[in-house]
Formats: sequence, C-alpha cells, structure tokens
Amino acid sequence: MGLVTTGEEVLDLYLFQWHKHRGIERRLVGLDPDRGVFFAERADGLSSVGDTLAFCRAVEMATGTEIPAAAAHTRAVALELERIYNHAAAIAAMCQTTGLSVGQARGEIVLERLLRLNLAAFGHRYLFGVVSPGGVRREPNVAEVKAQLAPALDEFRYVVEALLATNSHVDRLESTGTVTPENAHRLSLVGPVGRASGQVIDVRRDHPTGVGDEPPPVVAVQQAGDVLARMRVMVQEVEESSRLIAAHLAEAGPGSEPVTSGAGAGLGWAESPRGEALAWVSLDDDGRIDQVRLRPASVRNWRAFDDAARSQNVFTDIPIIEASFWLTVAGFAR
Amino acid sequence: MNERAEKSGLNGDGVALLPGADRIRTERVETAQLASLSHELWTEHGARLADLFAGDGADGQVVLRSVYALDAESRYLVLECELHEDRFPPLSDLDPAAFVEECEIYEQYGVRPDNDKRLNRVLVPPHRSDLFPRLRRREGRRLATTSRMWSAARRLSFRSGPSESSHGSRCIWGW
Repeated sequence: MGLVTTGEEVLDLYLFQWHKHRGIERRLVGLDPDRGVFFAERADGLSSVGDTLAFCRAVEMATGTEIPAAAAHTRAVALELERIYNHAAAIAAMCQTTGLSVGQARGEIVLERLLRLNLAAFGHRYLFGVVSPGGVRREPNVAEVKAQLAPALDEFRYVVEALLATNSHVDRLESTGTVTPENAHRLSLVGPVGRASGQVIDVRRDHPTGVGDEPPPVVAVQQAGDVLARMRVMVQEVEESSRLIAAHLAEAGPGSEPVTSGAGAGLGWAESPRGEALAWVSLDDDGRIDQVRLRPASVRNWRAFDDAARSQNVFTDIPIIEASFWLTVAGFAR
Repeated sequence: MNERAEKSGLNGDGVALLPGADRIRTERVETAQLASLSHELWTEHGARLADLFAGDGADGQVVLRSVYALDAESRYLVLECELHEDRFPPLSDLDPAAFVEECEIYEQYGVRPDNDKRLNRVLVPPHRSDLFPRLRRREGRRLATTSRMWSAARRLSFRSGPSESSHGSRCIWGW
C-alpha cells in the first residue's frame, strides 16, 4: 500500500495487491473437482465455506448434480457460522484500530468462542473440509452448536452494546471512510460494504439455490456508507445468521451425491461473509477441471478501498477503514 | 429482431433477448457488440457486472467472459466472446467496476481494452499509474527497448558526461 499524505490528511492511496499471487486457478487445472476443493478453500481462507460453495455449485451445475436436502441445510449452517465469526473478527479489529483495548479484548474473546464453536461443530476452526462437490463431507454436531452458539452471541451482543455506548469509539467510526451510494453502485460493490452504502444485494435472497436459501434472509441495509454503517450492517447480519442457523440446524445432516464425469461448464455463487463469491468451472470429457475462475468477494470490494480512504480522512483512519472493509489480500491475489 | 440481435445470432429484442426461465444463460456474442450490450444491460436493465475474466479458447485464442447479475430476475447472464485480436472493447469506460478485471486480464493473457488507459499492477489508480512498475508483457518489452536506448545514449555521451563530472570531482577533492 502506498500512502500520500501531508502529515495528517490522506491525499492519495495506492494498493499493490498482485504480489501475493499464488496461481491457484492454474493449480486447479487438471484436477478432479473433489481434489480441487483443497485449493478452492485456500483461495481466501477466511471465506473458505463461501468460496468453496460457489466452486462446488459451479461443478454441480456443470455436471447436473442435485445435492441431498440435508446437505444443503448443512452448507447453510456452515456458511452462517462463517459469517458470524468473520463479522465478530471485523468488529474486534475495529476496536484494535481505534485503540480501544478493552473492546478489542472482549471482541477477541467472542471470536475465540466462535472459532471453538466451529471446531466443535465441524471439526475445523475455519470450517475447512465441510463442503464438497455433490454435498458435504461433514455434518454439524447439533448439540454443540445449540450449547455454544447462544452464550457466544450473548457475549457478542454485550460487546456491541458497550461499543455503541462508547462515544469516543463511535466518534472515530462516524463519517470515516465513506463510500457514497453512487460510488457503491458505480463500482458494483457487494457484501456488507455495499449494503452499508445502500446496495440491497444479497445472493441468498436474490439468487436462491433451493432449500439451503430458505427462509430468505432479511437484508440489512444502511445508507451512510461510513465505518459505523458497516459495523451496524455486520451486527444486524450476525442476528440474522443466528436466526437462519436455528432454521436449518434441525434439518442439517450428512449427504453427498456422486458427481458424474463428463464435459460441461457451470457458474456457481454464494453469499460469503464479504459478499457475493463467484466461480466458473469448465470440465473436460473425463470430468477433470479444464478451466476455472474463482472470484472471491474481496476482488470486487478492494476497488472501493482507495476511494473510501481518500474521502477526507486522516492518516490514522486507514486501519479503521481497512478493518471495516474486512477484505483479504489472499482473496484478491489468489 | 433488431440488427444487433441478428448479428449476434441471438433471438430477441435488444438485451431483452434474454427471455426464459434459465437461472444462468450463456450467450456467444461478437467482440464488437460487447460494449453496447454491456452498456445497455447496465443502464437499461439494471444488470450488475459481477465478473469479467478471460480463458483459453480453441486454437489458442483468448475467450472473454463477462458475467452480469440480473438480481431482480434472479438470473445470471454470461456473455462469451472470442477475441481475434489482442484488443477488446473497453468495458471500464462504461462500467468502472471492470477496471480491476481489465488489469488482471492484461496481466494474465496480454490482451487489453481498446483505449489508452495505462493498465498497471492491479488496483493502482489509472490517473497515477505512470508512476509505478509496468506489467510484464508488452509494457515490459517497451521498457527493455527504452533501457537499451538509454544505455546507448550514455555510451555516446561518455566523454562529456559522467566521466567529465567525475574528473571534476577529483579535482575538487584532491583525489
């Protein structure tokens, strides 16, 4: 990242995101889709469920595979757990960047609880190895989710309430890193960043894929486009995710349909914690990956970061804005 | 059927050539039509450019794919066009969201939009891109040429150039 400042005011900002490029899409070529999941999960590790779900849906579309209903519910539970822990992490990071040590510590305690919940529910703190082409590899431990989610969310609500009652914290978030609704539309922003700037886009609602997207979520939207608006969107989404987990948990279970081999191409999508994740997959006659395109949500939203940073912010606002965008460089330079 | 639809081989009227209940529709279009179709989709049909990427086509050609999300209709539209040259219509002039992907495509496949924008390392803003390192393909070759010319110029101006200054310094410092 290159910053041009006059001491305090940020005049300009440049991002250099390509240096971490790992060639994941090229590595996927020639692989069986089942093995390809390993790489798809690592394209953007903090959105492993969202990105892998998009990849698997693309493979399923290319091969005409229908997944079992129980697997669709399991995928939904994993996706919402991923959203909850990511939003909690972003809110803890916002406290870190505003220098609110107590808030950061409390936020990270919530985050650790949620990561342990992921481990207890699916056997991996970052939910790797859950989704596979044709279904899921693991089913949730329903008892653990029920036992651990409610106390973790109670802690989360307590932290959020305290943060929003802390004037010094709210002052730092308000009017910081503003992305106007016009710019958000112009740049086709997605996820909490887009929704905090008035873009009512959520592919769970707009592009439902079946029982995994029922009931549809209530989309959280704000208009201000600043860091505070992004935080409010995340808080509302955590509540919505907990409602969706409760709706899917009873029906969640194991299940996987074999993916038929044969040539074809497909497009898949999922609403990852950072927004719409897309994947396009082309398979050859043997059912191996011929070409693939992974587009995590970070690819779309980094473009707005420099605009947000230039909007009359001071030098120390940059980390706050970065925490509120909660994007990954890995997702961009996959 | 309008002229564009006829040319593209698509049946329909304008971009409403996309009737049907398909959740995802893939259409082959000509390169020349891509810009106008893109503009029409964005401005008149509320389509959102969800992605733009390139891939290998038959006979070593590059295939450009733009993915549009028609959120109100719960559908995605994939426009595919085979590039016969190393230029394609500059979608980012119409839809700024495409700039990042145009840089990425240039980085990976060496084809570029048909405009004068300096495509630099991804996400360097276009208005300052001349300050930063170029890409590895054509820009790289241009840099290499410039560099050779600069070396030649230095060799020619050697007597009155650096050596003279160097001698001057020695005189001053008594070396």
